[in-house]
Amino acid sequence: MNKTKTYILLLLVILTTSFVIITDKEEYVIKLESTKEVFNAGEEIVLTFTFSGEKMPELYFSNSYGSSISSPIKKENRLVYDLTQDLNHRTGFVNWKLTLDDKKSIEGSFEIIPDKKVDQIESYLGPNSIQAGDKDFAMMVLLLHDKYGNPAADSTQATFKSQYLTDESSFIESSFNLISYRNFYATKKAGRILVSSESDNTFSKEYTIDVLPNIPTDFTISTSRNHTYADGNQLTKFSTSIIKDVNDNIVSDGTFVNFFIRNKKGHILKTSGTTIRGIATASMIHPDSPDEWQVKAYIPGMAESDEIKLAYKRAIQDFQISFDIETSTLNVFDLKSFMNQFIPDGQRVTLHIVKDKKRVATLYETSKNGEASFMLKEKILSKGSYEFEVHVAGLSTTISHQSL
Amino acid sequence: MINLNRNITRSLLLLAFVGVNILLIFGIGKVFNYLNTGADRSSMLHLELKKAENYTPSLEWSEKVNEGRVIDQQSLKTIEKDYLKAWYVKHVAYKNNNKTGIEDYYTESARKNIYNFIETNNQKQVSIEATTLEHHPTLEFFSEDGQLAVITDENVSEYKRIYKKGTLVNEVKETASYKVVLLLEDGFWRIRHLLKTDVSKKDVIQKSTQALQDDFKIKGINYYPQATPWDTFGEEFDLETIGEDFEIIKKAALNTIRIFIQYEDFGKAEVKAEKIEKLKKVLDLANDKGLKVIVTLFDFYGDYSVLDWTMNQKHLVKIVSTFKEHEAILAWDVKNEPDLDFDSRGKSNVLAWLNEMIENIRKIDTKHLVTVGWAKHKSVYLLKEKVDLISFHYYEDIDDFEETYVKIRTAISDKPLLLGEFGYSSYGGFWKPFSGSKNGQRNFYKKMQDMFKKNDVHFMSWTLYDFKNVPKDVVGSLPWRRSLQKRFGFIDVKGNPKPAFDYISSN
Repeated sequence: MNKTKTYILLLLVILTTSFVIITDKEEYVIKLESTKEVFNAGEEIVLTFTFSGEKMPELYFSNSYGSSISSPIKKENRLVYDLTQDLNHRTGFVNWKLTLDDKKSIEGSFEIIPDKKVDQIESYLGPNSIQAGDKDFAMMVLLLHDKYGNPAADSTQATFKSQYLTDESSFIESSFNLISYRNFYATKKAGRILVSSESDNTFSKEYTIDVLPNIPTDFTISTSRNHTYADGNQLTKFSTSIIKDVNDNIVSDGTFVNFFIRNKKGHILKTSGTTIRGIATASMIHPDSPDEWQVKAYIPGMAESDEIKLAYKRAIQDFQISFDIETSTLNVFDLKSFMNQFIPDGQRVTLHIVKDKKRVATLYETSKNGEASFMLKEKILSKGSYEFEVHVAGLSTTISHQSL
Repeated sequence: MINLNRNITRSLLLLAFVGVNILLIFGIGKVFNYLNTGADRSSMLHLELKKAENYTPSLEWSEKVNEGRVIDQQSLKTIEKDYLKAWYVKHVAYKNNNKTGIEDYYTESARKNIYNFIETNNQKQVSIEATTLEHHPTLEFFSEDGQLAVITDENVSEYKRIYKKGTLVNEVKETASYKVVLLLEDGFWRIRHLLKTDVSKKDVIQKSTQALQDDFKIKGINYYPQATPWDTFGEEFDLETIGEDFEIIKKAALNTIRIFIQYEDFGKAEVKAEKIEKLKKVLDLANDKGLKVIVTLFDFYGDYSVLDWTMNQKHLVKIVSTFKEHEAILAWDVKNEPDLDFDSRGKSNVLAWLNEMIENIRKIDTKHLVTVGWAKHKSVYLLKEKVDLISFHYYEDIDDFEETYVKIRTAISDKPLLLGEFGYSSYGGFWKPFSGSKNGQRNFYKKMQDMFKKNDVHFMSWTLYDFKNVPKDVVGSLPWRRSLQKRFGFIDVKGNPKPAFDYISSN
């Protein structure tokens, strides 16, 4: 009897353990029940699985921006995952994966497509200033969005509108690669083009394209001056013709013009000015000795003027010199200009001192009230016979054999 | 009594006075401090952080000509840099569930989507370690004013580990294509739209086409030059010495060596040209001498974190692609004894990393074998489907070896099995007076060689030389360990063969 009991017990133990083993090896079935593969943004997104096991596995999912996991709600033998809130109506493909254990997992994907109605337009325009003519253009790029802020589906149409003077036009473009765009070409005349866009009764804001004059073309220059004497005092004024681009637009104010002046010695003087209403002016002081100028203006890298010639006559007609032996002073006087007026103060007077046919010194002075004087101290010059040569504005006078 | 009270009052007054003074000085100090803080020059401008390169997935622009303005290389590089950084900051944000850096690389509207995920994940206590390993971008559109760009990025290969409350709940490898709209704002190319346009399965990884030839028996040795152990390619690199050593190895009837590429020493993601040059010389020399080489990669590397993968990948691609045709190479050993890092770095981290690196090698090199040199024989069953050559190290009891070997041999019969490291230290000095001796070492190798003959074992012993010095990073600084490690060689520090040399090989 006792033996039987033991056997029954043993049998029970074996039975229970084998039962444990069986449940442990349970082959559960999992299958995606919902077969919808495309959802509209805004729609409820629920994945339902038929599942025979006891577990409550979490579903991994990943959309365009990120990934997360979701816990199921168990309804009879179904696992229901509601992803609506987590996916937040973002469009694009979503992959999901359900891992039950080390070996068993199922995965899949579905797509969320944007709402068909365009609700917001984000527009970008650039560059917003372009050059007149038929080459340059500004580009308007649109990002069309549905009411959730998702990019609209490809091939969504948008209308681009532009207005210039009396001309109003509109063009229809389809979106592709998340954008739609149109190029607005410049007009021949400088001015402003207004552009805007529209899609599905949603409107963008207005943009302005400034059509600026194109680069300048070649131009001419002219001069004006009070007199033609080289008095080193008056100004000669240079001005350009009205500088225009190839389409007859006056170039933008402030276009920089350089005037280059080449004198008889080949030296170059430079002056410059900026345009106002197409005209640039600049001035240069007269030379102080007779000269001939060749003048040409440039807008660097873009345009240049013709070349004009200017001649300057000698302003000083005559002058006198004398040497005062008592004070060792050489006086230059009667420096007179074209109307016998004293030449303007500041005229340069040059004195060369020559001894035994060798130049021993050169001294400079500037005139004042038509005079200049050189104080030649004894210290400087030793005793002997000297020759003094005075040059003023291209004229010269000499005192020879002056002994000290 | 009155006197006592008075003293108490006095001392209280005194203390209060001192206390008030301290507070006063502290207060003035604070005010002074506050007034002295002005605009910090470095924070006046919003400049991007100049960080060392930390995200280097493979990236190749397609040649397709874009719509809109013709792009110059410089602009394309800038877009590429900021685009990759956008991915990087996103990975970091989802790993830590914070917003650092997101606003630099996503526009105001786009960043909301990421913040939403951060918030959700924070609530659910989910964190995600992720990386992208491959990008194939095409520039589709570049606006005339250079402020807007559209790119499509095909087959972005992504790897993710999803943790809930710190435990790994899912591991995902997926491939997806994206369309991206970027805007140039404040000098940053920021993502305005990111749209996953396709998901597809990854191609099946090619299997290695070459198996170990049937008649080739690996009889090898782990090699470091005597003067520069654990630093074969360092400052004191001496090709002549290495040549002489190879001669010794060849004459000792060995046919294979195992060498080690140190990850950091080789320059991490930016592999140094001089190191490649040195490695090439060594491989050429081995080829001249008729030796095969097992190249162990990622030595002294131990991070494995997902965000480090792209750097590892760049390192590996550079080395493997340079030598994928080299005759001398027998196998790539992905990492030396990675199973020792299971405890400190997490087993699943290490295995996922190994898997990724093996796949990376396969993508480039279909000619050479791939193996992992496990420290413990119990680890050989891991990744056995992925490798071509099963390799393990054995420093346990010699009497158990044969049984262990036969057991593995029976369990994994379809792939060659290599004993990648084994050895015996002849050190019997102060720290271990009764353990090793030169004769003990000789007997050990004799016994091992007998077993090898009997069981037809591929083997590689540790190591050719006794070393004068062993770097601390190898076995730690404990003197008994270091002393032991110095005496594993067949040739002593003076250059004389030890008795064990007779049994270095099986002939």
